[in-house]
Amino acid sequence: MNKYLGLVFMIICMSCSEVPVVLPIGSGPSTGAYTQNVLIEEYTGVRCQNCPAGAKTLEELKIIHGERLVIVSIHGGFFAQPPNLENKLRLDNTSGQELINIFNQPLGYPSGMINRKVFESQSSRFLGGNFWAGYVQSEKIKAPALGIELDIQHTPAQKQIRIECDVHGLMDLSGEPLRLSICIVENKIKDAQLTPTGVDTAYIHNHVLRTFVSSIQGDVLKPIVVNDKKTYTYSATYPTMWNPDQLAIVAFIHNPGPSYEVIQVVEKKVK
Amino acid sequence: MAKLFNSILTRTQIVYNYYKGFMSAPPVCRHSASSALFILLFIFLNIHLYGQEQVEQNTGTFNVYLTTQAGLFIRDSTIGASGTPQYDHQLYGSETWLDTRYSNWGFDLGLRFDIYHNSNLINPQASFNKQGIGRWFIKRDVEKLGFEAGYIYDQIGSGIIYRAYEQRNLGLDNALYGLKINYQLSDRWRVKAFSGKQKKQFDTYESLIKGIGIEGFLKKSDTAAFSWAPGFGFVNRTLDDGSMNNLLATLATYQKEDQFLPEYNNYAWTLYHQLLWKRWSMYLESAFKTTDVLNDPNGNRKNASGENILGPKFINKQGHVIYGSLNYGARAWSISVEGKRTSYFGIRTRPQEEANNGLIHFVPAMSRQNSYRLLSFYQPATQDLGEIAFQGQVSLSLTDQWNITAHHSTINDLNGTKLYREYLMESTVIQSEDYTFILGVQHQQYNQQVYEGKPQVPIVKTITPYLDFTKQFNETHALRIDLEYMSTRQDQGSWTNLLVEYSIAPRWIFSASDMYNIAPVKGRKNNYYTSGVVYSKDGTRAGIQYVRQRAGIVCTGGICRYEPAFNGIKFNIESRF
Repeated sequence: MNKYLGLVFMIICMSCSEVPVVLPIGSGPSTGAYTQNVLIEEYTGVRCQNCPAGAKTLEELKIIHGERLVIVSIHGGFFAQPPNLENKLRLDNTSGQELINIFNQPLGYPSGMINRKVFESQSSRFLGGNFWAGYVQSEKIKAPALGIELDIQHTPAQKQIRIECDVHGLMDLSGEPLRLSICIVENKIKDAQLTPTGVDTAYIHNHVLRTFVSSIQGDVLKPIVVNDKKTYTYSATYPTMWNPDQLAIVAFIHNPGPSYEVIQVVEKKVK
Repeated sequence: MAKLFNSILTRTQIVYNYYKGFMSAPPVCRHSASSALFILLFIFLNIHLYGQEQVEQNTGTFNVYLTTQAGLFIRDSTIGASGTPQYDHQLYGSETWLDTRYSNWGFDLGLRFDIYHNSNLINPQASFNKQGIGRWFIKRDVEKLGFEAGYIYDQIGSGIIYRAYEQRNLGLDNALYGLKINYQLSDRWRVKAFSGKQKKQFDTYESLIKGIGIEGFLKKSDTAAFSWAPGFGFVNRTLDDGSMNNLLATLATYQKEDQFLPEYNNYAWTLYHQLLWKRWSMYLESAFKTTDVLNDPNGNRKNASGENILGPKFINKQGHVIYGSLNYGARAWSISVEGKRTSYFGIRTRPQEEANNGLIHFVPAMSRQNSYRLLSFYQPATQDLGEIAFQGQVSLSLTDQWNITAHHSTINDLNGTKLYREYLMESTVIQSEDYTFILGVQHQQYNQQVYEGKPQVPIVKTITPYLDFTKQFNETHALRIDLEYMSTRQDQGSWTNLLVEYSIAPRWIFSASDMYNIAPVKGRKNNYYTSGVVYSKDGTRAGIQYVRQRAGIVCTGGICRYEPAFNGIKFNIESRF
């Protein structure tokens, strides 16, 4: 008996040392006129006490990746309604609800979809905050298949925004039935938010999805070929309670369902 | 045996050639439902044909177990039964498990077909719509050596370092997809080794799990009063590259003081034993885990601007669990005492997984498993990061008909913060063939801030008297009334529950119940009715119920999950063929 036990212990006690891993640094390669950007759609709510930590994690990622990370915070679902008694604004909206109708609600909040992709070894598009940094990094290092440029004309008197969206083909995507989605987000909205230490009435909400200018499923694009450029024009008016200084336009090109995967995304401030 | 093996080999070649003719590439053994089904059916076919041709007198056993649960969803926004695909447009959801087992010639073979149709079992807020082979296995013991391949359920000791198990009602299926080999070292000692990946619905996680366990059973003779069952186990988990790279990218966003370098490999081992002496039994287990990444859901770290971020944070810690129980059972009384100390002991397939996902072990819960509805309203889940807990129960038989039970549980975190207390007294009078009368009272203190993550809420304190009376009218007819009242000024306030059940053995059970928030802290009062009928015949049990159920945390065996409100009709069928 002892010899068997000895053998087992010997196997167990064999060297367990590993070559140490290295933490990644830098923001990854970017060549040519366009870079591959990454869209993260965060599902959040004013009654979700862990969402402020999620929002701060996203801001950290934004500092690291800059314009190459585009954040859209979608207020909706069971952590958005009913709001706290202290809330004076309503941050959830029909666009958020329509997205929930398409993608369902995540199991827990905060959750994020990164490029609306189901990553290998994941069973859902929704990812907890522990996964965000890694998948943003892995998506960002891809070679861009197309580029997007936004030209925005703002008419304050009419509260109107005119958006010209140029789509440049960098690869032949003529066989792909791609779609263009355009939405408006607003930063620095002050309203109550539940936090681990109670309700913060002076909480600042960023990247809040206000509405979709395109259809919620995206508008069908003409075939994209290499070096081809096509322009799509939209216009929208916004209500008086929105602050134009804090509005931004997010444009992204993606596959239709059931894939929904995002190919490219850009964000530009209205002012 | 050799003849059987040769026969299988010959048939393998024939079927392979036949199969190849239809395919552009030869069949590859991959983890997919179709290939698994093919392999298993093929083995079935060969063994079955061989059995018919060669061993006509040898008959195997074939069992089929069917479990179906289905729901018709009826929207009721007053209790929160709305806003999910099932209520909005699907209207129906179901789960089915068809489990088949065949045993013959020393082989055990199993195949389970899982069907999830618009199911909210995996994610209560979404709809899961897949079907396929949920499990297959082949198992064989040849003299001292045995093996099992496929989806394997198993554990080492009490499961503290490794437990591959299924808990259907919680949507958990943590089977190991791989191979297990066991060997009988002697009459008293056996060893097993396993390697594989953890199941994830119809896929697997990529991390590898390997382990070894040695167990003994020492007893001088069959009539000896003393026996000793010692054991040792070791488990290693190796992270896959994808998970490691993802983890490193997250750690790179931390400030220097919170950063660390994780390792691919995690090692855990345990030493346990059970002593039996006359009416006494004692179990002791001590487990240790090397430094590994854990997710602290209540972490605190600073960002680049110096702001505190309160929320999930990766930490790198060693861990341990010490667990023991002592039981004594006499004719007139019994006592059981359990204790546990946990420190940073969570082992998952990858540290990014949360809630019940990716757990490769199981730490026993230290609270009473209450079956009454209001008594199980607040259940403490095991805290991986740290807890120290004790529970004890004494049962006295005052007369042949009258038993009294007293129970106490206490759970603190490692800093001494109160997490959970339970005090329970129960009296049971059984007048055989006439009536059973159970009367009890429970007092709980439940740290809702820790267990449910609700910020700034007070500890929930409840007092719950309950009564359960069953009148046996004759050999077949019985009436049961269960009445409970939970008094609390915290959380949702006070509740009552009334259940009336009439059974006509062995076929019918008719039941109706109402759970009512008699004194809510806020919001409206609601009745949560349930009524239904269950019919049993031979190996089949079928039920239909109208259910109006509140949302809440449901715990089974120390594992908890959020259960959404439900309003609608539920069907259940359990059958064994």
